Amino acid sequence: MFQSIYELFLGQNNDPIYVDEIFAPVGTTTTLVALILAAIFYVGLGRWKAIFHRTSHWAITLIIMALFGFFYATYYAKDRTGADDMDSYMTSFGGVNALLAVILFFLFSLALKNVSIFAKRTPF
Amino acid sequence: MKLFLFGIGGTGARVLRSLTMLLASGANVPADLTIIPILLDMDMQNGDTERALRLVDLYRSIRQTGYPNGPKTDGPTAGARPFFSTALQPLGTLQTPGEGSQQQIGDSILPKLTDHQGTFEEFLQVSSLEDIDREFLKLLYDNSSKPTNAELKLNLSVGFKGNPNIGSVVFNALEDSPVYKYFVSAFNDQTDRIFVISSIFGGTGSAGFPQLIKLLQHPSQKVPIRNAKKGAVTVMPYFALEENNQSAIDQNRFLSKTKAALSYYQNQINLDALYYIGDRPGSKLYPNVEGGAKQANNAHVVEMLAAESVLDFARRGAGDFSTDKRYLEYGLRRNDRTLDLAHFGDSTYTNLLEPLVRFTYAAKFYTDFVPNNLGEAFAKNLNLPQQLRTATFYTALDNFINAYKTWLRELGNNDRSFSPFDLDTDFNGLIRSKRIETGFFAKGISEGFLQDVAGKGENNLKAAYPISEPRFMQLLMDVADKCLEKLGPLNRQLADA
Repeated sequence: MFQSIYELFLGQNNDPIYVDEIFAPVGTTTTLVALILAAIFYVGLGRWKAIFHRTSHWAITLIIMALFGFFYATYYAKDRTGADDMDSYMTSFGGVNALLAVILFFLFSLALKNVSIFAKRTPF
Repeated sequence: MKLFLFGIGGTGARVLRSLTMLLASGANVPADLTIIPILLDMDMQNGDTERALRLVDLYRSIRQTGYPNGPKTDGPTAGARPFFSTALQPLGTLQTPGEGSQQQIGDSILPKLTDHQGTFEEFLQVSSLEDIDREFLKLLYDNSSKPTNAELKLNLSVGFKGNPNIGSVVFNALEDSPVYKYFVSAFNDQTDRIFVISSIFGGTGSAGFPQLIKLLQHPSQKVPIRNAKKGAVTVMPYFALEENNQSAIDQNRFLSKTKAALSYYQNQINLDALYYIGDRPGSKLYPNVEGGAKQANNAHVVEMLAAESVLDFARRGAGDFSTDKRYLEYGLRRNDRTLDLAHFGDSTYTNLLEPLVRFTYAAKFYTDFVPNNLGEAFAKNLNLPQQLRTATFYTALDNFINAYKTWLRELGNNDRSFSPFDLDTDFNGLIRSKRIETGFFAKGISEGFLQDVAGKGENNLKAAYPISEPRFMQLLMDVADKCLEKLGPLNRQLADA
């Protein structure tokens, strides 16, 4: 599933390592981290105290999620391919994974916000 | 139980104003109590009366929307009376037997006593009297050309200007008035009671009170009214007036009028409970106005305690009334000119002041916290961003709470002063006698604390109160209760003078 999402934006890479070893674990980890962050935001903090529940807080979390998506994808790809420097495919992969992280966090937000007390109306 | 509450004259209206505040705060009264306030006053434009009327209207509007199915007493606020829980119902809205034949009196708590608009002379129809009767009237009443003294020329539309000898004649016609007939028709239950608020040193109250009691006790009166438990509070002088040579009201006669009336009451007034209250006038002088819209005196602690007498009477069980007359007075724990919560006895504290503390927290939450936190989830769930400034319920609540704060400030600025709350500081300093201690970790009643309490409270109430207005009403009580928990018990010992 992750392969088709990434290749929809990036196209195929000649090196099969992306398909065999990178897309699936990066996609799975990004999904899990998005879920965990959303759960912390809406369930952990969102039901505990009114300290980190506003739209501005949500936007900060979203940016953190995007940064994680980008840096984790590029770090993982660089590590697996053994490249010394980042190539343009790798950078684009980081960008697409950041976008995926943002979308996933947004979707998990919609799913979890009704469980929250203080962030029930965040982001809207 | 219905309590038919007659408030006569300006004092009746001022005490009703205080009573409405106490009821809004959830003062201790029987759960089944319905109060039927009936203001009796010729001065339909009186500022005090107008203020009381508006307040009762707001109270009823808030209660109607806040408790569409009546207030619950077994909810999260069990043990304390809910805000605005006691019903205030105008006489004209009560069902009467033979409805069709009964002249309707409207739904105001200030029904018209008489259609007469002119002078006392016209009321007596002096022009159609025999000469000898006319001359006799001149013996009884001042007919001089000096406008402030001319009793027969007194325009009754502003009341009796401190002249009970005029008021008593007008109140003689009470029995035939539509309002009294409606009252007689609506009074049918053996458990219902009657209470009268009046002053003893003015015009309307001191004239109307004995006449009304005489009427209620007359052998020709129907049995449920004759047998009903009856009480009254007689407010004796408690303020002084500014000098005003143009005014017909002579404050030098306050004490002599009081003494004369008291000696009359001693033999003529026979009630199950008669409360007396008064105070040595303080340094704050009231404007000497004869009536009308300009008569809007600042609230005084005597009026609040007179209102408590109404509630005390309602709280008494049927067995608490003996066959003997019962006279009750009120005493403070110490005679200071500035009163705090500790100056009052324990029962007053429990029945009256604790609810006031609770309601004051709720009032501050509503006016200071809610408008600044409309982005919070609890506010959005309650549709407050859209409704707080426009919906009838919230504007009524806003107006009532502002009137409540004005009432508190007036109590605090008067002499004697009752000033237990500092409305201009933060939540931690609201109760003057006990500031909530704060430190690095303990912030007391902070914005974050209120956000937590409001958020969790609203979330918990959602299932039980699906409609937002009743939910908001419960939330106010929940928040106030949490603030009381933070405050902890108050020291009931008086500080050294």
